[in-house]
Parts: sequence; C-alpha cells; structure tokens
Amino acid sequence: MTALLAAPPAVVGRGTVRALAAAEIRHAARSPLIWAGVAFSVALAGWADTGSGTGGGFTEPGSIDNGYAVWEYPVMPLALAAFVVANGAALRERPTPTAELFASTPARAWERTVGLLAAAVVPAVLALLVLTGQYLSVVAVGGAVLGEDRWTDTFDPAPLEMLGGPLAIGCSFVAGVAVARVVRSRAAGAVLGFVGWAAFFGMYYNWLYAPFGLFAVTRSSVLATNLGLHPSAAQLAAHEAVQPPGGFVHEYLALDRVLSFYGMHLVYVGGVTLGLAGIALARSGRDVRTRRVLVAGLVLVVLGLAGELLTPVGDLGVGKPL
Amino acid sequence: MTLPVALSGVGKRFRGTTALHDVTLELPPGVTGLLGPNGAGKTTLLRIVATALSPDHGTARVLGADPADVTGRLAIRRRLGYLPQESGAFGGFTAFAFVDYVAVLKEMTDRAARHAEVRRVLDVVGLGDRAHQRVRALSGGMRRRVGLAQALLGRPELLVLDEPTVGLDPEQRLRFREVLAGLPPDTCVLLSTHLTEDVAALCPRVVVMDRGSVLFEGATAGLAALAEGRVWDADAPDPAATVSWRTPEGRARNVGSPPPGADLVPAGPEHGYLLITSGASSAERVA
Repeated sequence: MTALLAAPPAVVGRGTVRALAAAEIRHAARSPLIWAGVAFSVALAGWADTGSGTGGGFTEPGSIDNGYAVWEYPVMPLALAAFVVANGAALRERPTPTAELFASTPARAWERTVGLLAAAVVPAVLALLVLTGQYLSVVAVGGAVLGEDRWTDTFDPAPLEMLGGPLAIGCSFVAGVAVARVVRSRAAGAVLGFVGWAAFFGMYYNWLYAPFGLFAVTRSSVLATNLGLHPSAAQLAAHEAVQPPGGFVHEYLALDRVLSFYGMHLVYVGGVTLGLAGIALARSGRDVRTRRVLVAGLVLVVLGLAGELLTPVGDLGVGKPL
Repeated sequence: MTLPVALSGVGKRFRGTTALHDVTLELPPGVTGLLGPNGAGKTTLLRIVATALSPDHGTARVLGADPADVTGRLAIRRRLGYLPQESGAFGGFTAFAFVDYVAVLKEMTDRAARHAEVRRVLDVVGLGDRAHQRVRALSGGMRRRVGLAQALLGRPELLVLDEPTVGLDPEQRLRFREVLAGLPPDTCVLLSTHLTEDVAALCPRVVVMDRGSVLFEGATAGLAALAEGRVWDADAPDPAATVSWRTPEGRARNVGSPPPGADLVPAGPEHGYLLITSGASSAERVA
C-alpha cells in the first residue's frame, strides 16, 4: 500500500487545452453514435448514387433537386449524430456533483469547451471520407450529369466541393455544444437538435430556393436562373446546362456550377460555425479570446453573404430555385 | 506555520436559508472528520473549501491561498483532491477513461505519465482489475471508489471528501481506511460522514456542525470526553436522558445527566456527538 501511495512524478504542466482536445477527439472517435451516422451516410450516398433516392443518381440527367444538386446531402445522418454526441458530451457536467468536481480542477469551463469544440474535427473528417467515396464512385462512371435533353453537361466534382459537407457536419457538432451551453437540459437539447436537423438537413429541398439558399448550412455549387417558358437560343447557349420544364420545374431553368459563389457560401457557413463556437465559449466563463471568435464569426457571415449576393448569377426571386 | 485551511466568519445562504453561519475553523494537516445531521451545512462547507462555491461573507485561506482570488483559486485547485457527495462519474465511460479525463482537467498533460498515475490511483482503491469496465456496470460502492480514485490523482496536499464511505461494504471501508492511513502525514484531509465509527477509526480531529454552525472542534478523544460520565444503561429509557435507545442486549442506553447510582458505561465519540446535537435537535432522540 505504501508503495502504491508513493508520490508520482511531477506530471502537472501546460497544454491542458491540447490534452483536453485529444481526449475529446478520442471519445468522439469511439462514439457508436458517430459510427452509426457514418453507416447511414454511406448507405444514403449509395442510395443517391444508384438513383434510388434521387430519381436518376449522379450520372443520369435529372431535375434541379436530383443528383449533382444534392451532392452533400448524404452526410445528413452524420449531422444528426454529430449534434447529439456533441450535446451529450457538453452536458456531461450537468449533474451538480460532476459540475462541482470539474469546478474544483484547474481547468476552466472555457478550456473544457475549447477541447470539446476541437472534437468537431472527428465527424468532419468522417464526412470528408464519405464524400470522397462518393466522389470516387462518380469519377469512376465518368462524372455527374447536370441538366436534361440537349442541354446537359458532365462534371467531376471540384476539390472545393469536398469541403461543404465536412464544414456542415462541423457546424452541426459545434451547434450541439452551443445549445448545451445555452440550454442546459438533455431533453431540451434533444428536441432542439432534432428540430434544427429537420429544418436544416431533413427538409433540404426548402434550401434549394431563394432566399433560403443563401443561408443554407449545406447546398450545392449549382446556381439556377429562371429563363421563362420561351428562352431564346442565345439564352440557352449561355449556360452550362438547362433543365426544361417538367416535374417540379415549370419553366426553363439555366444551371451553372459557380464555384466562386459556393466558396463564398462556405465562408458564410464557416462564419456561422465560428459564431456558434463563440456563443458556446461566451457561456463558458470569461476569456478575452471569446470576443475575437465571435467577431471573426460575424465578419465571415457578413463577408460570405455579401460575396454570395455579389455573384452575378442565380435567381434571387423569392421562391425561385437558387 | 500556515494551516492548510483557515476559515473566518464564513457564511452562506441559499434562497433565504442559512447554510453556514459565521463559521470560523482551522484545520491542521492530518485527517479531520466533519460530523453533523442532514442539513447541518457540511456539504456547503466542503464545497467552499474545495473552491466549488464562494462564501457570501467571511474570509477563507486554503493551502495558503485566497480562493476569492483567481490566481489563488488556481493555485489551490492544483493541489486539491475533491470527492463530491456523488462521484459524478460518467456512466458511459470506463473507470479508466473517467479518471483519465479528470487527470487531464488536473493539467496532467503527459499521456504516459498520466496513464501511469491513473493506473496507480485505481490500484490504490482496488479497482485495477475493473479499470476497463464501464462505470454504469459497476456497483454503487465501486463507483464511489472511482470517485475516490480521481480525488487521489497527483497526490493532493488537501483532500476534501464528502461522505466517502457511503455505499461501501465493511471490507471496502477497511480498505478506504488503509488508503487514508497510507497518505503522507502532511496531507490535510477533511471528510464528512454520518458515521461516528468512521471518525473514531480515522480522524484524530473532529468538527461537529448543526444548522450551519460549528458546535465542536477539537480532538476526537475530546468529543468522547464530553460524554464521559454521562452515558448509562438502564432497564428502560430514562425520561431525564437527552437521548435513549435500545441496545442489542435489550437494555436502554441513555445519554444525558445520569441519576445518582446509574450504571455508567464508557463514552465514545458518538455519545459526545449525540449530546451536542440533540441539544439542538430533538428529532435525534431515539426511544
């Protein structure tokens, strides 16, 4: 017993945030819920790829909400899993004795939150892997098809388009932490999480239309412009692809892959993510760095939205496909 | 010499209820037991010493630092081990993972050294072979030991233990006593308990609290001495006694002012405790 109680070597040191982040990353990576999300996302990617879920898949001509336009949506299940795991982890200290125990340690709540936020990298990387698999399967069959009839174009997804899904999943994870820091209730967190997920991911089709498309957490790089019922040949030729009337589309719809717009949208989502992280930090005690995170988030949101609005393509008419 | 814990006029109220009333207390190194009925203010006092709660008024010095000051609080927390009333362990974590997480919170950033320390404290509390079981699969007593293990991390100079023996079976309580006995003599341990036998076995010093006030502070032998000559057995509970109860032999043991010629029995700390607290609470009376 005496030997067991001998003083340990001095192990106390700096880098607590790094160690906390490593611990949280390990816990997230071992979460069965995250892996269930991955499994469902892979299944959804396969479902979309074969056309079972999209009425054509990536390699068949299809309407605006098919195939290429819903490139990022297979990560939807992972988004829900990421939120739930983050929310649960942030609420670990919810029972008072645990909160007291944590409060009696040198690590501040702010540092615990930073460590937790760092774990967003786990579902984000997994989302990247899911999309990489999807990318490889699309490239293997010669690319994704946009448009229909005589006005089709075939694309390989651009490297930039691999970032939207992971960013959206990271945003979902950070939202889980922020909600836990604001609403310190597991039940309320679960309800808010499901409602938020249903609104932003589950009902994805709402975000294909203006003005919602500007604020979506996840969207494609394809911008739609309404050409009316009788577009001229010049109008039709001016765009990369065209969707003729049919199904949900009532007029000729020009389709263009606009990576600059998409890039600005990623800036917006990055800003939202930083803003949510700032809220989580602000609710975790005082630290001068919180304000910097919040300001950076706000700046990115404004920049991203301004960049989207300044892109000279797309139809911003309310209710029009965007 | 700087005392590990020195409180002066410390008070705390919760929604109109006084939990602590001008408590002045000094704790030297060694084990001090904190005795008192439910609602006495023991847990509030422990939370203040553990820097988990700030007093409304009064001053506190813990390990020579001021917990009201950010730097002082951090200095205290780096040298403190705290076991709350419930261990607070996450059910989904293994015992090892939970203690490891707390070790990270205690700034143990070197992974190899930290893991060695986690294994050490789990061995100390006898959970070395259960380290990789999930906490929710452990018995209540084992969970309590997981909590104790995290409190022992890094050889704290001050250990604050809130009812550490609750849920432990007799063998585990014996082991817990061994753990405390094996601590370096300069460690200050403040443990609250309802069990006077724990105090008698573990604590050279004792503090008795009731209704937010300290009623007794001193050597455990001194608490027993308070009741010397004031404990007696009789065939029936004595109406003049402050407290009476039936012994296993069927006689009535009385604590209070004995009548002339009473059959006096040796007093222990529990008799002193009952004598002190029953003066404040008639609910403690057992017929």
